[in-house]
Amino acid sequence: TMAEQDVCLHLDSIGEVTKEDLLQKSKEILSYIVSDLQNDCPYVGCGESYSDHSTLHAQAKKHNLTVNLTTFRIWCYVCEREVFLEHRPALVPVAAAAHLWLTGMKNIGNSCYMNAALQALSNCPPLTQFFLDCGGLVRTDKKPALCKSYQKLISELWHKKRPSYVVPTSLSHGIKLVNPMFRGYAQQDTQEFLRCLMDQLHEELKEPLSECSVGYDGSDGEDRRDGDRSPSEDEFLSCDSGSSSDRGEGGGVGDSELLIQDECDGIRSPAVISEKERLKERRLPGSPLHGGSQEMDEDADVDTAVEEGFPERRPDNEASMTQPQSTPCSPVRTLQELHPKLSSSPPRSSPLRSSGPAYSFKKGEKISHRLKKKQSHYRSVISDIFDGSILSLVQCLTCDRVSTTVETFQDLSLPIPGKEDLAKLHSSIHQNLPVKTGVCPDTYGSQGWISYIMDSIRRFVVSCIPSWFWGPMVTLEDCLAAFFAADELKGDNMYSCERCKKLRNGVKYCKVLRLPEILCIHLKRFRHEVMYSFKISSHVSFPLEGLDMRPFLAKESPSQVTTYDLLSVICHHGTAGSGHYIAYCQNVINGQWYEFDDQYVTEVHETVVQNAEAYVLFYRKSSEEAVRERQKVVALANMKEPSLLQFYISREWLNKFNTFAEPGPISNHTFLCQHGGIPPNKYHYIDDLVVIVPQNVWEYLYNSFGGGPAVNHLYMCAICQVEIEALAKRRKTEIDTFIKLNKEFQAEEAPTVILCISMQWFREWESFVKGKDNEPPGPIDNSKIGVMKGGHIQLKQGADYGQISEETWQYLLGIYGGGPEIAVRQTVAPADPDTLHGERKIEAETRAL
Amino acid sequence: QVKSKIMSRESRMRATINQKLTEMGERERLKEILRARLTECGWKDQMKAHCKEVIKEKGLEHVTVDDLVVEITPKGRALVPDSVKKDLLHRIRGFLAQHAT
Repeated sequence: TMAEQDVCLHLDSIGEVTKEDLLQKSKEILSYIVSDLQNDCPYVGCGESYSDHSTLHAQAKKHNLTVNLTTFRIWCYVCEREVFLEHRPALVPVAAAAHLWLTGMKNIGNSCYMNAALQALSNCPPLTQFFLDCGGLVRTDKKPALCKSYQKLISELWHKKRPSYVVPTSLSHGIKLVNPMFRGYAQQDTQEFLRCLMDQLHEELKEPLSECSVGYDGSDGEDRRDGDRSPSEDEFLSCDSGSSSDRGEGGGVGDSELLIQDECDGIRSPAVISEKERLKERRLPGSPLHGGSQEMDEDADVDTAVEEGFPERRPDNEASMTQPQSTPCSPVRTLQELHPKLSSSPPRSSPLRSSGPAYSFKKGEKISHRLKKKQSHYRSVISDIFDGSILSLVQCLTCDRVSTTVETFQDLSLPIPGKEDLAKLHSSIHQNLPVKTGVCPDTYGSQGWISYIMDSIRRFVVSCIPSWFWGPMVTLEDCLAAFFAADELKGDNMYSCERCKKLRNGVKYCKVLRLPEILCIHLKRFRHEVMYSFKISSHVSFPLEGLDMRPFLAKESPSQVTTYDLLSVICHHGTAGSGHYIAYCQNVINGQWYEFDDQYVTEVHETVVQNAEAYVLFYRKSSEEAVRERQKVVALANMKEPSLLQFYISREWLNKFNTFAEPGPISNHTFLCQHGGIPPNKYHYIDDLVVIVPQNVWEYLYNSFGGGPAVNHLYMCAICQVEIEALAKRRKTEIDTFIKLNKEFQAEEAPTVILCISMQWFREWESFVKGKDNEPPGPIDNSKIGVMKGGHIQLKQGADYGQISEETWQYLLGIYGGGPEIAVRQTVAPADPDTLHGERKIEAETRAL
Repeated sequence: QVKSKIMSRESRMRATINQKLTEMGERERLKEILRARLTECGWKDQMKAHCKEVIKEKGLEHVTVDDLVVEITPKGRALVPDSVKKDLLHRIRGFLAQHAT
């Protein structure tokens, strides 16, 4: 029959197949089919998730590009990575942007604050490119090594074969160790997370700025060690440390001391004692409070500040307490809220290093003076990208004296002006009154009283105009203006003028001095009080491109590029009590905006971003010139000009050139020692530090950016090597000799002479010979343990000293010089507790040797 | 007195360290140690003497607790012996290192 003739007998061989089965199968097949993009080649085959015949075809035919027919992602076999049509020099208009598959992040328990922050950071090219291209520079000994966790995360997010989502567990664990506030699974504040993460990354990756230490006496040349000294050693010795705050002329002391502050205790200042009392009453139950809560007992903690005139207090919320038991899922505030300081100027010098009695210095083999350390400044990729600085000026309205301060910032926390504030801000702009937006201090002084009158007039005028006139919409520029607007210092907030030596009315205003490559802006939407928290949900409109920082820039600013484009924005939806964070980020590859909502990543239109409730914004310096420079350099490199000399350039600097608007001068000194060679400790990873460029590229970059030095030859520095070996030898000799001499001393039953050594000096020496400290101690300083009595120096009662033999004393004196020589009094009975104590001390201290 | 709008890296880290110390009760322990050290090295007596001087200078009727605090704070800070600072610093570092993993 006809039916019989139509039936294919071969159908038996495939068994039961339904239409649904076929549909499913076709989907499966499609998912791994790729097509050859070479013109005129019709080949379609399976990809690597199957038998990868397409690769065989590509290799055979030398057709390099293939496209996945499901995702339309394009792969180049030669470059071994995904490529995008936009990257081709645009001779042909591109039809549609390539669709990217981007990776989300799993929520591991209210962790959207972290996920949003990480996605935002990941879309900062200067930072991401560093972690991808300068991976060898990501090294640290510091636990919990967040930089390594972050590096791993970034490489997963930007891998050519990235997953649809990642689970950032190691970063989550790490951050909880750095700051216990993040432990548990409560909602946290994304900006606090960012600060914590970025501070820790900076700590782990920081390197000292090569700063010349002041010259040494009698030793062989300068003793400069790059990176060996941690700043904490400086703190340890002279108890001063680097601070982000530098005084300008007319200001107070030169450096500020970093001493442990009593942060959680209240303010202590003549005008504000009541707040301190208030806070004391609100202490958490169980915190030990000596005496009554109303009175100050003699041991009560007092918080006092060191910096003149610029204590820090979160302006957002002066009266908040550090109650961790807020409503669940709210971004909680911490002790960071509450750290006001008192203004006072402590004397500068540390008694230890001031000029004391002159000792006769014996010239020994290598006498080095350990001089007072200059402030150590540190930099890292984090500070290179995000650090900016603000110049603050305070003017006394009585004597017109202006004092200036420079402060470094990592982000700007902007207030959101309310209707009245907006009216004020707009009125000063509209009426062209310069008062509150950075009048030049010179002119201000001579017009003090005029400005005062103008100010009064303006306030009157503004109060006559209804606030609705100024419009309801707050812009980001409004918030910036509010931040940089002048503050009146009066009433409770008066300024302690150095010249007048009293509290005066003053005015403070600030301007940006140095603009960071990436400007991080935080809008202060949350307010935390004891009993409640609330959130300002009003929309703040922000530009996607062309944010102009010029109105807020100091005239002294060295920054040339002042315009910013938006990179990413973290948004918060919900209330202070419970909410959710998501991030909108512009992808650097295809320029599209994507929404990152934990695991879910979706492409969105620009208008969605513009309408979002911004909380933290990342803006990047915008410079077409920088883009052109890069294209020029690529062109020069592509010329493949033969050059007789090859030039080495810092890989890290080249990364800056590729991603920064203002990369600064070439920084080859970062991989060189002071002798021009590679420091021995860096030699084994020198390839991570440098890139070879041809001569034409070097010359172009050097002429454009300066810096240097030019390096044509890499070699390990023999001088540094010799110094390192000599240092090791010296340490060994000194330790061995000391142990030998001390053993002999211990063996003596009744020593005739027992000499004293300051334990403070001894600990410094010990720290040096044990390798903890690369600086040898200065001359022996027994001044603290001795006291003049009856014409000669005797051991002070209760002094912190150790007992050594005459031989040991002579040995150490021969190397270090100093004095004075103090003998334990012969009439002291052997059973004297002081003697035994001293002996035991040296024993205890040297046992570990 | 004059509020800064910027919270520096140093203050943030100080606050974090303070929080860690407080949470584990270490801060109170350190305070006790510090009090003992400052007493035994004579600092407390020095401060007491200085207070008396200030009171004499200003007159018992006119002086306030705040005045005293403002007057003796700079000297108090400067007179803390380096050995005490080192000891405390050493202990804090040890504690933080211990609890970093």
